Amino acid sequence: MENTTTFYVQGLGNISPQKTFDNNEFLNEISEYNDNVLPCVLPEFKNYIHPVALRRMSRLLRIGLSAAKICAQDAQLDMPDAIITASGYGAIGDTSNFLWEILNNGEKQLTPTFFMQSTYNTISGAIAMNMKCNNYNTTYAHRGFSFENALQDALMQMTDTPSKRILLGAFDETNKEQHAIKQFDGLHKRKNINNLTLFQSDGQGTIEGEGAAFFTLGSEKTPNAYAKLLGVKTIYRPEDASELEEQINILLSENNLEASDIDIVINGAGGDTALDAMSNTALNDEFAGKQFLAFKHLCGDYCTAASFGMWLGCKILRHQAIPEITKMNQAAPLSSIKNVLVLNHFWGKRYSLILLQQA
Amino acid sequence: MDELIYNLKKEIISRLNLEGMTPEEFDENTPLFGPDFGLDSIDSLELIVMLEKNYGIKIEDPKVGRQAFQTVTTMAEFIREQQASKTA
Amino acid sequence: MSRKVFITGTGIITSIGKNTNEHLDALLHKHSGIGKLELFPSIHSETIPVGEIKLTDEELCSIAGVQPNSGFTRTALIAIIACREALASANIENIKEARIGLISSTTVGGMREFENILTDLTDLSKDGNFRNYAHVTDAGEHTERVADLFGFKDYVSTTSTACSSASNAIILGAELIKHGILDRVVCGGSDVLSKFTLNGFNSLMILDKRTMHPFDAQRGGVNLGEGAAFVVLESEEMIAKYNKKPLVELTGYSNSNDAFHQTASSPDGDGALLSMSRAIAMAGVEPKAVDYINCHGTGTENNDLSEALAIQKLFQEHVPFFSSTKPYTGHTLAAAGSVEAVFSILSIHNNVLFPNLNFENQMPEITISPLKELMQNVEVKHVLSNSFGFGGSNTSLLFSKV
Repeated sequence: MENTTTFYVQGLGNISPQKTFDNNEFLNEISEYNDNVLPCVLPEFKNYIHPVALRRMSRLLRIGLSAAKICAQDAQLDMPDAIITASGYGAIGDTSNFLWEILNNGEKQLTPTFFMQSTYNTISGAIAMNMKCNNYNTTYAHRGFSFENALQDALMQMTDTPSKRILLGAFDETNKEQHAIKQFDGLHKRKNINNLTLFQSDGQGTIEGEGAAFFTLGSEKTPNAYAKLLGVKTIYRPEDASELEEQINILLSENNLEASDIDIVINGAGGDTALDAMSNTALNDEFAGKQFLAFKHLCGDYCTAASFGMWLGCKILRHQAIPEITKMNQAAPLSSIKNVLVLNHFWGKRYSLILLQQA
Repeated sequence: MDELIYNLKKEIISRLNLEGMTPEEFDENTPLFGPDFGLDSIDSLELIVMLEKNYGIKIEDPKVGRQAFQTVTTMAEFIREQQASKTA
Repeated sequence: MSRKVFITGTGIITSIGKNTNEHLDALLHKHSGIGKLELFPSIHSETIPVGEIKLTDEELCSIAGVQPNSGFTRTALIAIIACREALASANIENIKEARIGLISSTTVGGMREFENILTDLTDLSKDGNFRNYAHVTDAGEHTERVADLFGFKDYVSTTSTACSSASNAIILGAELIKHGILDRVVCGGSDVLSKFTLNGFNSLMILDKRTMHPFDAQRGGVNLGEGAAFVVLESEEMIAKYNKKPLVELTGYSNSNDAFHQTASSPDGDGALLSMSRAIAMAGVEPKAVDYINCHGTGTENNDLSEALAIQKLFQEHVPFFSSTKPYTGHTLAAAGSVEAVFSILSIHNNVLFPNLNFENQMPEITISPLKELMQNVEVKHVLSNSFGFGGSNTSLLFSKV
């Protein structure tokens, strides 16, 4: 179905291992970590959530709900027409807690709160309760596609009903057990590094991150609008870089663009040379000479990390400035930044494209 | 303050994460599920688990729990009754 | 481009059967699969009845055609079995002949396997076969097992909204077809019994220690079940191109949120009312045209009252026949929406309405009561299927005769 409506990112709310929750700043301070686990820099939760409600909430629930509130406030959104969330592992903290209780207590005297909050859509439900929103509400939970599936859903809904304003967010949290499991398999580094040296390290494994990034989407170009969301694509198990390139070109031509129109490429490389190879090849083939940025040295890798990449793209388009810390190369300076492409991958099997344009 | 009531208050504050509240501020006759504390059905279940863990009292029917947990005072009475009938 | 979505195939495995025909047989003969937990040890196995698929993992591997202990979780195995049947029943032999997606759902994922090996997995000095199950906890893992086995590539996704998950998978599938992104989508869900969910529901004190009695004044909660089910959605263009006879049309659906409590429904039924009325409105159908409601009907005090009040309010003098089929299979959690979609399709296709087993006592708060007996040779044109999950997720699907 041909879409003739333009969709804007009207608000942002990002809590990440960098100080990103304050929308008035843009990576002014950079946080460094030396044990391969990047936890979020947290806001004061009481600013967003009533203390009585806060008491029972798990860490991820507090983070997710706060990011959603920051975003809704940023977009002056009182009542979303839909709440769509995404998470690869869901509330893994509560899941772990409940599981360990079962194992340690022999299935006795178990804490119902842990179980109740372990469902993937706990945060989605909490946002709905907080905003008294009875509208569409769903959660996508497919690994490195969760966030992109959510974006696809939102785009389809807004295509049908352009007046809709959608609150959409993705979140995942660090977890000791999962980190250990991934270290064993070489997906996460065993040797500790400083996160900012991720792309100069031994090229084996990535570092663990977490975050909650929310976006308000709508068809109105509000005064605060950050960017246009032109399109999103998921590519499952591409055979090789040329398949990725083909999909990139399809997405661009659907939006009357060519590779030469792209000003900035945001690369979701995770620091593992083998797993990053295909996307690096595709991007170099398609966009040689362009300004490449990376972001996983700032937020770590996690299923929904592409949401940090999209946040970065939105902020760049709004501020018309590129944080030095994100640059992977030094391309010719740009007089203006109009088109940004995010190419992310998760464990080298799930690739996604997010195309943004200046608002 | 009665020792059982004091302990119950501490345990409830801890279990239900009532941050910032002290046993001294906690009125044992204020309804727990009323507007002051705003506890709900999940909190009731948590208190059932707490009773089993800390006092060895098992409640099978959540309705019995809601009845016993009206206030800290009624909770203490319930515990004393249950413990008395065990030793009887 | 047509905006119609049809269902051309079904696949299902639960405690009452390994395929669609076996399910129809069980439903017609009132055979429930609820019984004792046997296939994994738990302190609750003597006291908590469940709807267990009486096949070991080795047997499931054999049916699914995969090697045992090679990393396929029970959730993935039953999903493979159901998906295979769905594709065959839709006469899809060549996955690549059209743009096709796979959207599955689960709450438990590979937790059943993971809970047994967690301690070993986190010990970096230990290795063994168990490492084949290292990455099975997340919801999307089983979907990729199915995708890779059958060659799905165009679109792969997983939803997880507790008990409404599979219904939301079906909604996403329908939307992808309507927007011309896919021609076909296989949608559904899979969940298995595990210590995690058994103890989770038990900690919420909503499990019935007897076989469940939905809508009964003395209902005591839910029996958990395990199962997987998929339906094949296709566009009108596909139906014409491949000359297919669809089973039903998916004419309406709605996803709304109760926004009341994490695990309880709003007591006056407003959440359920919203999702049912919107689904019917989408189809352009009057409430009185609905012939049957396959209810969420979990047998909990809260859900059944809430759902029944909503039905009364919405349908008024024209309350259709309604029942919960969960006493047959148990509550299959994420898969419930697709399991009950299959039952709704069977109802329309076979002119039959399935009873609400174990119902005896009228609820005093309402005037309506569920269907107690099987009804055959009835014309069934429109069936509404409800699935309401934790997190306030309320989803209703309307299936219509073609």
